[in-house]
Amino acid sequence: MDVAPFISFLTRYWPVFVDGLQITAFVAVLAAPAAFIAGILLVLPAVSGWKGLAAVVRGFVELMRNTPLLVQIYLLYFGLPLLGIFWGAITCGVIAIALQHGAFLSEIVRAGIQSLSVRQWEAGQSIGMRRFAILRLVILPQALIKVTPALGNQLIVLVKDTSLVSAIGVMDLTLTGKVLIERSGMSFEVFIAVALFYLILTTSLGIAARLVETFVARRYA
Amino acid sequence: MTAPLERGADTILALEDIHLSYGELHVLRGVSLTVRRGEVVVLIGPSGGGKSSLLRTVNVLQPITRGRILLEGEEISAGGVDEDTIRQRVGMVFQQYHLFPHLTVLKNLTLAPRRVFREPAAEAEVRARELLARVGLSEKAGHYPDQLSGGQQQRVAIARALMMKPSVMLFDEVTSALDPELVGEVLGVMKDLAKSGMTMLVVTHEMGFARDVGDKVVLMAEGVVVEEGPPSQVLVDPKSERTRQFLARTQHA
Ligand SMILES: Nc1ncnc2c1ncn2[C@@H]1O[C@H](COP(=O)(O)OP(=O)(O)O)[C@@H](O)[C@H]1O
Ligand SMILES: [Mg+2]
Repeated sequence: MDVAPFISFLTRYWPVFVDGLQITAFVAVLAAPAAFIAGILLVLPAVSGWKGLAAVVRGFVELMRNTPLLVQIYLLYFGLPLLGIFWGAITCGVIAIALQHGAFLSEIVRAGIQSLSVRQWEAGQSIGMRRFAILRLVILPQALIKVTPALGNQLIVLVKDTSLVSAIGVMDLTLTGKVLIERSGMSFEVFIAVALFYLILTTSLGIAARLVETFVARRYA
Repeated sequence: MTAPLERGADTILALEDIHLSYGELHVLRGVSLTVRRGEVVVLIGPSGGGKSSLLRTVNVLQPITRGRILLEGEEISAGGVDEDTIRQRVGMVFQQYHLFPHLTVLKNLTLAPRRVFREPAAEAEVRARELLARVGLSEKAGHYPDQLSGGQQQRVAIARALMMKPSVMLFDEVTSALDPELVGEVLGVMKDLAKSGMTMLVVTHEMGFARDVGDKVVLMAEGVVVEEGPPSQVLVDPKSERTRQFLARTQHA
């Protein structure tokens, strides 16, 4: 592939790519915090000792982790209307991504919590703090600090997984690519360009994650 | 400190026939013990004798299998008590400090009072700085625990427990993890605390502390109280052979 035609191709379709990139970023920006919140909520029953709820959540997490994200997206997008619920494609995509990544994140956070000494709980208890306050102010912050690298990694996977929303018609980077192939007939160039845009997104996130990681490591080694 | 007290109200802590089992292991076998207001009771004895377990039952970290624990006349070992409120009245310091590593020294001190008493940040901070001054760590308020020596961390842990204005302080071998040259600074803080009138139940191997600061020394072994009395008697002229053995061994160590 010559570079010059590729550059001219890129400049020609630049605004179209930027639109797709914006949608991808939009989905990720909604899904990532939602996944994080879901991850924390899913870990609460187990560490709070709410046995019944913990078992239900356990089952949910396993279900989420062991079925393809694409299937979950289809389930929401094509299944909910059968129940009379009509949500937009982006909403369905964001929720499915948030739930599955929330499930994975909850496993990561749980591992972080379990790696802490039970003495940290006792230290909180011994000064009269309630279990939930200890969890929120003593245990969770330390657990999150410990698993920062894994969280960064998961965030990058999440950004890549947003490409699945193209399957239900969201005009993100991936679907933009598909459409451009039809329009331009340059399939190879298009997907090189799409991959490049994803790479830019994930690498900058990777660098940001690494920076946070080193900051955290330096502060809380 | 001379407010009129009810009759018998000067007993801060009363343990009556405490039994504790971890599964098959019968660790406490009928321990009775009284700690009066302002008194320093020193608990000594061989490792595995149940001293830590006993302190943990008083701080309701460990439920007992039989017996009663009374804190200022109120039974705390029965079901249905609010364990968190009890723990606010019982300060506990552990061998391994257990500071919160992600918080500064100052935040370690103010976290619980702000959460538990809803104390305004400014007030909690003023009290925290006073206590830090008292344990000689004024200049460490902004440091993190891992930037402090073991002795300094342990003094922070003492100050953190004092922030809750406890009626009694429990110390579980708080100098055992320290380098020898750091033991003195922690014992010094505990000595000052005792002088200020704090009621203390102290597990330690520091016989010098037991002798100089203790009002009463209790020797525990195999889950029972073997001997108790004033330090001048228990440490110098023990009645029990078991005590004699234990003292002989610690003096060699
Ligand atoms: N959480 C626990 N579970 C089971 N056994 C324990 C536990 N804590 C202590 N023990 C056992 O109880 C006995 C008394 O221990 P401990 O109270 O720590 O004594 P001490 O503080 O006098 O050394 C020991 O045999 C110890 O192994
Ligand atoms: Mg012990």
